[in-house]
Amino acid sequence: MIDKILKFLSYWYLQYELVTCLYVFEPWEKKLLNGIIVIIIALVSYSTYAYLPHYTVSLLSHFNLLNPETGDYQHQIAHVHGSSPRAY
Amino acid sequence: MLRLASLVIRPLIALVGAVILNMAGNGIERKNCVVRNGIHITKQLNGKQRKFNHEIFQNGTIKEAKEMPNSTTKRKRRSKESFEKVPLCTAIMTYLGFYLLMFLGYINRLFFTPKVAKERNREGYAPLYDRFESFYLQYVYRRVRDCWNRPICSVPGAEVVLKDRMTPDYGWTFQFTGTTTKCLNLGSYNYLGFAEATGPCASSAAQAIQEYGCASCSPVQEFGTHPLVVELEKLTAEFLGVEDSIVFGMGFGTNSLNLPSLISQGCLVLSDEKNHASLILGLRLSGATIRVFKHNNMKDLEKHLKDAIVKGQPKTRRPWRKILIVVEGVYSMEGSIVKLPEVLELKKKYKAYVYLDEAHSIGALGEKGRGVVDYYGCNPKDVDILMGTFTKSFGSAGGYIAGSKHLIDYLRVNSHAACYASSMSPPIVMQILTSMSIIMGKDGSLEGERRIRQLAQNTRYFRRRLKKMGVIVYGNEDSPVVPLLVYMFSKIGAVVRTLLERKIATVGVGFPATPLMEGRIRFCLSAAHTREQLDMALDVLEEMASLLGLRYSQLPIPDDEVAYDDELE
Repeated sequence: MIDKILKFLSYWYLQYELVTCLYVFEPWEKKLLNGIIVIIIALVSYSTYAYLPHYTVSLLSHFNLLNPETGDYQHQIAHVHGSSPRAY
Repeated sequence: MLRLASLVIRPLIALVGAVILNMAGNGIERKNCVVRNGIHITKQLNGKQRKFNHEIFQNGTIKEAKEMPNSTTKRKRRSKESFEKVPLCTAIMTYLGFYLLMFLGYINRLFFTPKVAKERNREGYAPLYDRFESFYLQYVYRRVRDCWNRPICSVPGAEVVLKDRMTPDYGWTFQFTGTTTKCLNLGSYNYLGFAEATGPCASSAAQAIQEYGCASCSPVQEFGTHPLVVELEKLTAEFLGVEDSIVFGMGFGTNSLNLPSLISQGCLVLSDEKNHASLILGLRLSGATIRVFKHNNMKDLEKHLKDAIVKGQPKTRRPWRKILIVVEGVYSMEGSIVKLPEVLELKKKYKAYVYLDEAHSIGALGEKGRGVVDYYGCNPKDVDILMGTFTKSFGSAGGYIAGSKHLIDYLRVNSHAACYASSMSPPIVMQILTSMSIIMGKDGSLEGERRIRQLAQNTRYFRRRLKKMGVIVYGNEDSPVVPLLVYMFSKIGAVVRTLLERKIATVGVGFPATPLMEGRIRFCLSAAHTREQLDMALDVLEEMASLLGLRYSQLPIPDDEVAYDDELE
């Protein structure tokens, strides 16, 4: 079972190495490039997690595409006019 | 509004998906379906599922494509050559791979010194080496250098014994491990299988050493013409169907040393885009004006001819002294065959001359093995200068030029190779004499015919099976040179190394022999390969295609069964 998963993962890692030309590099170069890619992915995912939900909500409400939530008519106008994050 | 948004979003998703799909496409098994832009469609032609039964004849054209009843489309002449375009995401990833290689090469050079000899005391002098070339050699080619220049320990027949080596420092130095590996040989130019250590050719060559010695020790114009050479020239002329021929000791040298004596300044040369380095060297040495036309493109050639005749020489507007069209029979990197009937038609219409380099096609094409002229059924006296080498199909070394007696007499006096290069040595000439008589059937047996037929069968079988696999293969269906495109630099190294582990020896080719984007693996088929060996090789290749992701083809896969003894007439 673990064998199968390992085989699956190593197959896809080989494909990744071949497509990005990492296959021909020496081990230290591979670590360097993989490290750079991992750092970029980590930064992108952190900023997605931190900023995307709020940004999506404010974008949609700016275009009035957000479903009218119960009450909060004032709240929606306040959002349209100012875009500072508000703690709840 | 939503429709507009979807029109914009869909290509974006396609682009992102394409990059991921490139990886996925390498890994997913392709069944009988076509993948286009990430959407699977079943095999459809003109809106209907159809089956084709192709009737392909041995000469260069297809007579008709027989269709099953119940289909109502018109018959088209299908071209036998295919040069599929690279899928976009593969091209992108190949470029990115090369940028990555360059980037890391610069970092390497910054921090570590390369293990090469340094130039000393060069202040004030021009550098000895081209900077980009040495950079490429040290940081790109060096990484996969173990795939090339492998020493062999046996005659390169159908199987070859390779000496193993290992590199402790990633390609800078090599050490022999002491073991050898016997591999199936798909890399040698052994088209008719005459590379044998035993047999009539080898014993007659050994006999010739006893009679005439090992070397002729003299150029042709001095004492280098021994009776064997005279016999060979007569036999070559008879083989090709022309008046006379002259032979030289080196195939590359035949091109580069004879073109300067045939053309000079004031002549125009129209040479194909993918001509060999020996032709380009000879043309540059001659001093003539060279214009390049697109590979095998007759419209481009005609346009260049018209321009040349109408406009004349560039500054003086005088007519050109000669116009020479230089083409090859089979292009070894592409696997394509020249369109000889059209070239000869153009030559007659515009009164030009044709120089046909049959290095790879002599012996390998045609019903009687007489080359590309025989393949198309043209008149050999139409081609002004027939050139070829004895290296590929005759298992020997050297080159020849054949044509009218007038031309050959001129070359005997005025050629650089005849004057300065030593003539062919006796055992080599004897090998060619024996193999050529076998091909012509002069020794009384049917061996020559058998070899030619076996090569044609092997070629057809191998190419059809590769097409069914879904990999991109360039060239004409009848050429025994089969380039399989892998595009990416890392894949060239990966495929060659993995094939070697499975005991198959092949040649991987990359930049600068081919364009940067088109890395390829080249197979050279031989009449010495049996069906079992080809089957073994194809099974390994099928596994490779799934394992390493080589199935780039987006054309529909033919679903007819490929049998070995397919129709031959």
